[in-house]
This record gives sequence, structure tokens and C-alpha cells, in this order.
Amino acid sequence: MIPYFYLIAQALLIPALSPVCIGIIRKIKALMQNRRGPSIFQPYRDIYKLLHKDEIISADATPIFLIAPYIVFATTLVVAMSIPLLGTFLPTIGTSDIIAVMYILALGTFFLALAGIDIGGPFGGFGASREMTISALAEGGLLFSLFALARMYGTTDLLAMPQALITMPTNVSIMLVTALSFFGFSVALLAENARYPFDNPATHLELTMMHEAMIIEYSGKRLALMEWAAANKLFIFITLGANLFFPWGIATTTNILAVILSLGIFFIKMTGFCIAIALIESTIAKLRLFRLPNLLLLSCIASGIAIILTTLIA
Amino acid sequence: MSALLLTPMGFFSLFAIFGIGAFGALMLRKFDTAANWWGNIFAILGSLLGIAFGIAALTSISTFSFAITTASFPIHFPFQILSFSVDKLSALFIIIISAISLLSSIYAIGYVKHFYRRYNIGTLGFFYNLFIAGMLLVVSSANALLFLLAWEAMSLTTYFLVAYERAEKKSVDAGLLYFSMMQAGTACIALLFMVFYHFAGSFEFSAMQTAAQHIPILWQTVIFILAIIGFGMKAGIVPLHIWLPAAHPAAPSHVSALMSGVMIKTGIYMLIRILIGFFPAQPIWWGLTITGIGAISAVLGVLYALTEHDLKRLLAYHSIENIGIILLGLGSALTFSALHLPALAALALTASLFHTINHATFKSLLFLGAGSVITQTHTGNIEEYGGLWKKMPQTALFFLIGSMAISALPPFNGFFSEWLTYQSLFAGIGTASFATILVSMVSAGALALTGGLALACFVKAFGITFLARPRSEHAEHAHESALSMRLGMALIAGATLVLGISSGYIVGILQTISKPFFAFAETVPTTLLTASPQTISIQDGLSSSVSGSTLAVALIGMIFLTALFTLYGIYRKQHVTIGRTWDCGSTATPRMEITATGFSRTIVTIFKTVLRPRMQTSAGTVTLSVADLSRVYIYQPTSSLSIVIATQVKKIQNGTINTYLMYTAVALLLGLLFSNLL
Amino acid sequence: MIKLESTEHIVDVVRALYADDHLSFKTITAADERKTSGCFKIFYLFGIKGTDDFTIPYIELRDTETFPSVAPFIKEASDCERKIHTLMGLIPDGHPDGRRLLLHETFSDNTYPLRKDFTKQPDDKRIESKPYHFTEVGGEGIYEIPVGPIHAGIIEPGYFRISVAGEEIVLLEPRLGFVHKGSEKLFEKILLSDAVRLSEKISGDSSFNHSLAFCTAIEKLGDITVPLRANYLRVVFAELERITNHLGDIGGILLDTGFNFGGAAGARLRETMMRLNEELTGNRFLRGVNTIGGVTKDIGTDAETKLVEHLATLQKDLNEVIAIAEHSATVLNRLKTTGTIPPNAAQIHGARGVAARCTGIMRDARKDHPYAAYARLDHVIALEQIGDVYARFHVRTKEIASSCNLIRDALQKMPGGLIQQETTTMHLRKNAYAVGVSEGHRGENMYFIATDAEGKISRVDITDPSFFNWTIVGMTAVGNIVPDFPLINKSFGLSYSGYDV
Repeated sequence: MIPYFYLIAQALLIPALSPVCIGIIRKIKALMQNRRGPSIFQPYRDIYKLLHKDEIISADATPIFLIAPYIVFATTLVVAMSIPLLGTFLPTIGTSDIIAVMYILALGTFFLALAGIDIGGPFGGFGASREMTISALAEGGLLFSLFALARMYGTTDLLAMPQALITMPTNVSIMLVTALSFFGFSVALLAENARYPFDNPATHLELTMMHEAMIIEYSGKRLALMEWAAANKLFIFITLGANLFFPWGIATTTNILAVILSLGIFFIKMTGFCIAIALIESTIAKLRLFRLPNLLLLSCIASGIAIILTTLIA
Repeated sequence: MSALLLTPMGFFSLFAIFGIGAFGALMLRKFDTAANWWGNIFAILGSLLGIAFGIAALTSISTFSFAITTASFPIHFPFQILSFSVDKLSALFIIIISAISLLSSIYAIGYVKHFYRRYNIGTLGFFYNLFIAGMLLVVSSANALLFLLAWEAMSLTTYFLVAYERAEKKSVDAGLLYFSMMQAGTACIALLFMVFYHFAGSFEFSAMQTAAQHIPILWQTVIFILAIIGFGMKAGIVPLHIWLPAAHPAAPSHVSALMSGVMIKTGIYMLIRILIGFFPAQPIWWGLTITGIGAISAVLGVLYALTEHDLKRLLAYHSIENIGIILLGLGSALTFSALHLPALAALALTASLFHTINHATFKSLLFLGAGSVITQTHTGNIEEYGGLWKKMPQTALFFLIGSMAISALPPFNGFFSEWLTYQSLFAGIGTASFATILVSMVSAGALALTGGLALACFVKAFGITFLARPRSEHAEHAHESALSMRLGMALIAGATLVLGISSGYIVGILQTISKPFFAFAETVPTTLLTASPQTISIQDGLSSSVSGSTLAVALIGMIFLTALFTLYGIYRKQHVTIGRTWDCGSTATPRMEITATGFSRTIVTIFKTVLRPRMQTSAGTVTLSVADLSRVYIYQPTSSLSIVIATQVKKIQNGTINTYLMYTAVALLLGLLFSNLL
Repeated sequence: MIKLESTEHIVDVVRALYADDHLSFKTITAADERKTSGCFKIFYLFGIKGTDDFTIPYIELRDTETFPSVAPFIKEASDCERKIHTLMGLIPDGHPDGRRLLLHETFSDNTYPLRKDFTKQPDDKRIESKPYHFTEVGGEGIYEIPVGPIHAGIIEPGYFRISVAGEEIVLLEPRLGFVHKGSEKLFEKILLSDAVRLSEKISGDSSFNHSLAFCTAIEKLGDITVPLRANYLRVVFAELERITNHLGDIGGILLDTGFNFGGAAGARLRETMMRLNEELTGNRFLRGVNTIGGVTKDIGTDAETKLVEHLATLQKDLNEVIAIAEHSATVLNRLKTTGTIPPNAAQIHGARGVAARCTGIMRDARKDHPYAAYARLDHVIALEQIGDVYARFHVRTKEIASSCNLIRDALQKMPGGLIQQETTTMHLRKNAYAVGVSEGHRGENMYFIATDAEGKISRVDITDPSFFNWTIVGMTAVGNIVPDFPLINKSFGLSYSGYDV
């Protein structure tokens, strides 16, 4: 009973915490530019403000445009219930398989892209085109990296993986596999969340946008949901990165104190990820669009090597 | 009930219904409406009987088979050909064929109205019913000759259906291409059965099965290659796929649905029957080759689909892609069988069969949807669509469901069969054979890539067709299609969801079909795949599970909750106004919406080594095109070569009687000589 | 010195002059002299390289409103003749493009603002004149992206219709005119003392160089000698403006590649320069510094030292930033081979300034038509060859270095004395013409001023270098991908307001 309670709590906790993640990244980026930057809680204020604003909907829009934000947000909630954030004791309800999680997120991307096309403007159109291209190419790397972990831990169930890693001995080959697949996973993280070097989330140039171009027509509550869903997705990926590759500190019992402690440790790991992302976004330029497939192929190959290594270890 | 069905009488009545439907429609050919209703009603009745028959055969303990020996015939017939056998695999295919025919025929009642007074409805009904009967015979025959007859019947009837709109040059050309390729394929199949006959001494499948294990390796290889070419051509693997994108768009949409959803699966059926059913022990490279072909077909199919802006051609290429995915499962099954891992082989075959079922459903749904759109807009070109959601909302919804299913998005059925395919490939990575690991890994990557690209392609196909503003006059004047068309589509759409939710249950049934094919060792095999009505789970070094019902409940529930909370839980005083799309202060024209070609151009450019995109600029016009590699490197050289050879051979016929007389004399002499020698 | 000559066979004359390597084609402009001479006059301005002299053949249009077009063989004349057609109503015969240039559809047909008899009253009803036709690229699958005039960032309004095949641009057509202010006409109405202020607003970030060109022309018309110290000061301020703007452009280019650090650094350095400008002159944009006969602000010894110090720190700082950018593979990958100006396009379409120098064309008004104290100072023209974004980036970094040297040089050589010619009254020659040139940070600014029989300004023709460079942007974008367009646009760094005037 209690583990199920934690599962539901996680589904509520992730949307509650994800704006902070975005806030931290922005703050660090500002500091690197010698600016003071906004408070890390500013994204909450932004969402609050958007939820209270009026909406303008294009006359060309179909129900897809109206429903897409709900679907995109809902998929992040379902995935939130399928990842190991609070502990290793979370029960599997059948949604936490690697492929299930990937395709649930793909469901969100599908409707996001459709919403971009729905408004009938060119920006949404090419935004959707770019997003689908990058997403299609990133799937291989993401799948391979998670599968390399799956082979190591003997399960493709995301909720069961951290437990397995904790009880595994650490030796060089395992570290190598983890490192390679982590590289593949990181590239996929950046690609799927529209961060550098794939997309600039803070750009004002419409012609260069990817994610922002698809939601360019949204306003008010629906925009709040879209932005929030993007924050959720980033938080989910960071959770996977932190707790699958570096699961130390995760709670193994349902004791509330252990869970709170593990959450605190997770926050430290999350901040590490945020610093890394902010560093990348401050020190390199965005890659040219047609060079991105090379990067994604590299991530795929790295994770592929990791998988082959796991066959040699076993 | 099943006792009544599973008799020769029940079996033949199935064909009788279709026969009545066919000939009746032909006789009513002067009366369009009557022919339409007659043909389709009988097809519906026949399909319902077929479904009942199939379910009965599936749930029965023993295989239903019977033969009509020639002894009971008044005329002496040298070969026995009338033997039929419906085992669980055939039963499954009968259910698939009948179910899709049922829904397709319901759709056709409204759809065929668009052909009234233009073409002969009676002949359409005639060939349509014979086509379905032919397919049913293909999967239930137990004799090679009977099979070939049924196969040819299937090809002939579909030829007429493909070339049905004979006023369109495109259709006629497509028919010709289709026909020639089918003949080439059938020739290979005939050769295949000749080889079997040589070793088995009989054309009966049962005899072939017993003889198969004694066939020397060289001839086994020959059989394998002939099977791949012959049945692969029907299934549409790359590089034998050229006829598919031409033929499927040319046929009337309900026929395309059947061709794409069901007919190409008969090729898969025979591959399973021969390669897995006949041979108890296969060489490992068979499985690896098929997996490789599957991966290539999947990726190339979806890449070419991305370059298409004709809706039906796009869907045809997706059929090639999905056949590739089915072959991934099939190839893995063969590989595991060769590696003596029967439980994994059963898993892979289950994946393959499940995807066959699923593809049949969502592909037909998509073709039927395409048919609705095309009849309303009078064009198949996506670039002229747009904003059709507002004009035909129900068709749009069903097409959306079809798109989601084919892109393997949960909670629809496509997701679960792809999940199973992934699991078989993952299991392949877990084996000890390095070749298998490599092929499985590359195939898994190819599958991931295909999934992503298919998603992109359907964002394009659905988005540009139904969303935003109309791009042409036709699109502006479209309206919703007839009730029967919507009913047919609605039922299939519902089926995709139901199949997804009950995937656990379905997989359980499919396991009972797959397991008998593999020689399980004496020791009780570990059941790797456990399927409860809610969950499918696999335990094999790697434990995985997924639950159809939970996914459906979770997703739909969360969407509902989010919508409810956002609309009613937070700040209710929001004003929503309708305005213009953001156009930066200028005026938006239809040219400013994204085009289908433009949408996929980025991906096409990334894969330019395979697709060879070209951009030609001349006098203010830019023409974008892609080259079909197989056409350039295989078909054109082959056809040029054949023309050269034919021109040379033509010289034999020089027109003078004397030469011909000489030919006859020489042939006679040679014949006498040989018969003396033998 | 100006040599004006009325001709009959203008096309042949212009052809010959255009082919002459010692001359450089400047612009074509028209004046309404029906009251004074009973005709329209169309002037074809050619500058004699290396000197401050211009040769200007002109034609008179008495009973006709048509003149032979030279656009078919001088591509850079195309927009000049369109402007004459739109604003003056004189029809270039044989011109390939009959569309109006700056005025939009809300301006009725057959109204020609630059004519002397133009009286525009506000309309009660909404006017819609002939629609503007954009070139449509045929072919299935080509779609159009309209960008502007309202942009997502704080930049000037301009409309671009980009025809794309997926991501590749097949045609880019800019249409400007959203900030057409009728400045040329305004010059004819206002007092001379206000005219300098108006010239500073033609292109806001080029205030000093624009007003410098204007003042130079007026000083020629009034036979006013500018004190030497003033000339040196003019050099100092002009170069300060150049440095400030180039820093902003460099930061902008780096920002548009996504290199946030470089963008922030460029913005920061520009801000320090603007604060320096304010310290020296009281105005961040150096406005109110130029006046007819000299400058209004002097640089004392303290200020001089501060200036030299600041420049030294600036150069060091900038070199660090540039070094970091040059070492970043991602930045270089974005800058190189992007937005390469097609071969000969710069030459044929009359590129000015950075756009010209990045393709190896040696065009710099400070050397071609020396003004202020430039004849006494030496500098190396910053040249690059390839013509891509990287080349334009580099031209700017080189020019910052050479500007710093010029400033130090000028401060050293600067004599004491007046900074402004003391004139009690200003008398301009009657029925006279003068040309004033300056090299702004974008390129060559040119003012062609005509006076009437009473010595008042009767016509001012303003040529900002952006007028010619915008066409080149359109050509450069073809073949590049859409996400690179903002970068290409920024690398040219053109002025919308300067084009619209």
C-alpha cells in the first residue's frame, strides 16, 4: 500500500519540483555571463502568471491545438510515475519499461509537433520538422544507452534498475560501460529537451527555434502547461541520468526519513546536472543543423559499444 | 457450433458465399447500386462466417484438415490437389483476412458509390469477392498445386482490381508492373515446389514437411533463396518492392486496404509455413539474413515514405516498413530456433504474428481514411490538402488513431507488437553467438530509427492533411464521408485500441500458435513469456514487462485529470478569444503553411547517400526530387538487359515459313533422340 | 570639387564612366528644379578615387517624365532608379522592376513626395494602392516563411519573404520602407541649424559619421574652412563611433551563433565605449558633437589620457574574447562558409563597407575620398577574401585595431587651436551642388546637397551604405539554411532606417 502512495506522491512531486531545475540552470548561466540573473524560483512565478492570463486562439486551430497541451503534460505525469526518484521500493504497474517510457514521451512529442503544424504558420511547421528529425535520430542513442544499463542490471524495468546497481560490484568494465552509456544518454538528454547544442531555449530568433517554434502560438493556461511539461521532461531525464547511472543515495526502505534524505541527495545530483547543462550552454555555440546527426550518431555508437561490452562481461 | 463449422461443408460454404457474391455481382453489373450492395453484403456475410470459422479452428484442439481424393471423382485426375488444412496459424490468418474484409466491405458500401456510372461496379464486386476467396484458399490449402492455383487467382483478381480505373494511365501501368512482378514471383514459387516435389515425391505439404529434414544443404539453400524471392516479392521486401508503391495507390481504397493489410501478409504466412513449419533445424544464417532484410526494408521503407507526398504511395511505403518489422521478428525466430532456444523462438514468432495482426488493422484503417479524403478532394496529393479536420472531423479522428497506432504510440496496438519485437531483438543480444548479437543490435538501432522516422512521417501525413488551413480549392469544399465509410473506420479504430488494451490476452493466444512450431527439448521448457490479460512479461536473464490496460488507464486518466484540473481547478475567469495566427504583422497566405516536401526535406538531406535528393532550379521554378536506388541500380539495368536479350531472341522469328518448318523438324528429331536415350 | 555636365546620350556616357577604373559609381538621384530651371534633373554621381572630386553627368527632363534606364547594365543602379520612380515620379524606361520602393500600399498611387508641388493631406478613408508582388518560386513543396516586420527581438522593422525548400533558402526577398520618414524632404524645410540634428537621426547608431558627411557638404557649399584641430577631433570621434558599433556587431554575431559568453562580452565592451563617449561628449551616441564648421566638444589632456588608457584596456579585453571565440570549434564551424557572398555579386551590386571589404574589394571612403584629417593619417584597409560570415567578423576585429591606432595617431598629431570656425552668419552659394562623404562603420555615407537661387537647401540626397547592401543580403542568403539567416543578417549589420531615410 505504502509504495503505491509514494508512486502517486512522485507523480505530484515532479511537476512541483521541475521549475526549480529550470531556475537553477538560468541562474548559473547568468552568473557565467557576469549577471546576477533571476531568482531560481522565477519559473514558478512565470507559470502562475501564465495560468492567469487570457488566451488567444487562432481561428485556424483544430481541437488538436486545444487538447495537445493536456496530452503533453499528461504524458510527463505518467512517466513521472514510472521512474525511480523516491526510492527502489516503488512498485511496477506496467508503465516503467524502457521502451514504454520512451514511447510515452514520443506520444507527447507527436502531439507537440501536430500542435505546431496546426496553427498554419511557417514557424510551427519548420519547428515541428526539426523536432521530429532530431527526435527520430536521438531515439537510437537513448534506447541503446538505457539498454546497456538494462543488460548490466538484468532488467528493462526502470524502477527496478537502481536496486540492481547498488548491489553490483564496481569494477573497471562496469564503470566503462556506465561511462559510455552515460555519454550516449547525455546527448539524448540534450536533444530531447531542446538544449544546446541542439536548440537555444532562450533565443529570440524565430528562425532558429525548435521547441519554442512549435509552441509559438500558445498563450495563457495552455502555454503554462506546455512550458511546465518541458520542465517536467527535463526533470525526468535528469532523474534518469542521476538515479540510473549514479544511484547511490537512493532510498531503499519506505521510511519517510530515508526518502527525504534521498530526495536531498538527489537535489545535489540534480544541481550537478544543472551546472553541467549551464556550462555547456554558456561555452559553446549552437551546432549547425546538419551537423547534429553526426553528434547523435556518435552517441548511438558509444552506447552500442557499451552494449557490446556488456556481452563480453556477462 | 464449432463442430458444425469445422466440417468440409462449413469450409466450402465459406467459399460458396463469396462465390455467390462474385457471380451475383457480375450478373447485376448493369445495375450499379444492386451490384454494389450484393457484392459487399455477401462479402460481409462471408467474412462473418470466416471469423467464426477461424475462431472455431483456433480454439479447437486438433487441426482441421481434410482432402478430397481423386478417387471419388468421376474423371481420372493424375494429381491430387484438393487437400486443405487449417491449423492454428492458418486459423489466425483466416481471422485476420475475414475481419479486415468485413470492415473493408462495410466501408465499401459507401465508398464504391464514387465509382457509379464511371466504371463497372459488377466486375468490381466480382473480382473483390474472388480476391477474398483466393486469400482464404491460400492460407488453407495443404497442397502445393492447389496453393499455386489460389496464389495465381489472388494475383489475377488483384491485377484487375489494380487496373480497375482503366481510364487512368497510372493505374494501367501499375497493373502491368504488378502483374509482371507477381508472375516472376510465382515462377520462383513454382520452382520452389518443384524442388520439394523432387525430394518429397508429392505436392502435399505434409509430405514436404516430412521430407524437408532430409534435403541436402545445397538444396535447402536453393529453397531458402527461392522462398525469399518468391514470397518476399509478394510481401514487398526491399529490393523487390517496386510494385507496391505503384499498385496500392492505383486500386480502389478498400481494395488497397485489403492488399496492404492482408494480401502481403500471405507472403509472410508462407515464409512461416515453409521456413519454420517444414524445416525443424535451420542454419543460423537464414534467420540472420531475414533479420537483415527486415531491418533494411524497415529503414528504407520509412525513408522513401518520407519523400512521398502522394498519400497512398506514402502508406504503401509504410507497408514495406512494417513488413520489415514483421521480418525482424521472423528472422529472430529462425535464429533462435537454429541456436536451440525454442522459448525465445516462440517469443519472436509471437512478436511477428502480433505485428501482422496489428499492421493489418491500422494499415487498412489508414487506407480507408485515405480513400475518404481522396474521394472528397479528388486528388491524392498531400500538398493540396489542409484543414480537413474542420470538414471531416470523424474521418480525421480515425486517421489520427491509425497514425498513432502505426507510430507505435501507447496505448494502441502497434506499441505492443513493437515492444515484443524489441524484446526478441534484445534477447538476441543476450545470446552467445556474436553474429546474432551484432545483427540484433544493428536491427534494434534500425527499429528505433524506423520508429522515430515513422512518427515524423505521420506527423507530416496527418498534420498537413487535416490541420491548419486548406491549401487548395478542393480541400475547401470537402465534406464528411458516408455513414458506412465512417462505420467501417470507426470499428477498426476501436479494434486498435481494444487490441492494445487486451494485448496481454492476445499474446497469450498467439503463444499457443507459435509454440508448436519449435522443437522443445525433452525437459520442460521455461516459459519465458507470461501473458496475463493485463500484462505481458518476459523473464530471460532480462526481465521486462508492460501492461496494456495500465497504460491505457494511466494515459487516458491523466489526460482527463489534467484537462479537468486546468479548465476547472485553476482560475476560472480567463477570457479566450479567437484571433489570427501570428504572422509577424504581415498577411498570411496559403503558401506560408509548411509543405509535405518541405517538412521532410531535412531528413531527406540527412540521408542523402541513400535517397539522392536533387534540386533543379530553372526559370524561377525549383523541382525537388529523390532517386529510388533500387530502380536505378536493379530495375533499370534488368529491364534494359531483358530488352536487349529479347531483341536478340526476336531474330529467331524471321517470318519465313521455311525456317519455321525447319525448327519443327529439328525439334521433332531432337525429341525422338532424347526419348530413345532415356 | 564637382564637375557637372548636362548630356544627351547619358547611357553611353554613364557606361563609359562606369567602366573607368579610376571612378567609382556612387548613386543616381533626381531633383525637382521645375521652378528654377523648368526641368527635372537626374544626376549620376561618380567619385574620382583618391581625391575629393566628383564627376556628375546629368540630364534634364523638360517635357517628359521618362528617362533611359541604366539598370540593365549597372545592377547597382537598379534601386536608385526605383527610388526616383517612387518618390519623384520619373519613369526609368527599360527598368526590369516596376514595383514601388519605399512607399507601401497605404500610400496612394500617383503621389510623389519629393516633388516640390507635393501636398499630402491626411486621408479620411483607407487607401489601398496596387499590391506589391513578391517573386514567387514555382515548384511543388516550396513554401514561404514571412519574417517581420514585427520581430521577436528589439530590432528595426523589415519584412523578409523567404522561399524555402525544407531548410534550404531558394529565394530571399527583403522589403523595407517601414521606417520611411521623409527625411530628405524634411531637409528642404528646416533651418540649417536643425539640419545637422536631423542628419544625426538618419541612422541612429551612425550619428556622428552621418552628420560628418552632411557638415562636410555644407562646409563646401559655404566655403567654410574647418580648423585643423577640429578635423583631427572629427577623426577621433568618428573612429570612436566605429569601435563602439563594431563591438556591438561582434557581440551580436557571437550571440546569434548561440555563443552566450561572446555575446555578453561584446555587449559589455560596447557599453563601456558608450559610457566613454558620454564622458567625453555628454552623449552616448556622440550626438550634438558635429556642427557646421567643426565640432562642439574638445578633448582636454586629462580626457586624452583617459581615452588612451581605455583603448588599451579595451584592446586587451577584446583580444581575449576573440581568442576564446577563435579557439571554439563550434563557433568557427558556424561562422565559416556560412553566408558567403556569391562571386562578383559584391562587385556588380556595389557593395559598400564591410560587405565589400570582406570579399577583397578595396573600398574605404577614408582613402578613396579623404575627408577630415584622414589625408594626414595612415591606416591599412582591413581586407578579407572569402566573403563569409567569418570574413565579416574578422574585418570588424581588424578595423577596431586600426581605429585604435588612428585615434592614438590623431591625438598625437592634433595641433592646438580652435575647434570650430567662428562664423556669424552662414551663406551658402546659390544654385550650387556639393558632395559630402564619410566612412561610417557600415560603409560609405554620402550626402549630395543642392542649393537654390536664394542659397537655401533645395535638395538633399542621402545615401546610407545599407541602401546598396540590402540587395546583397538577399543574394547571399540563397543556398544557406534558414537557421543561419539571422546570423547572416547580423553579420552584415545593416541599417533599416538608413535604407528607408
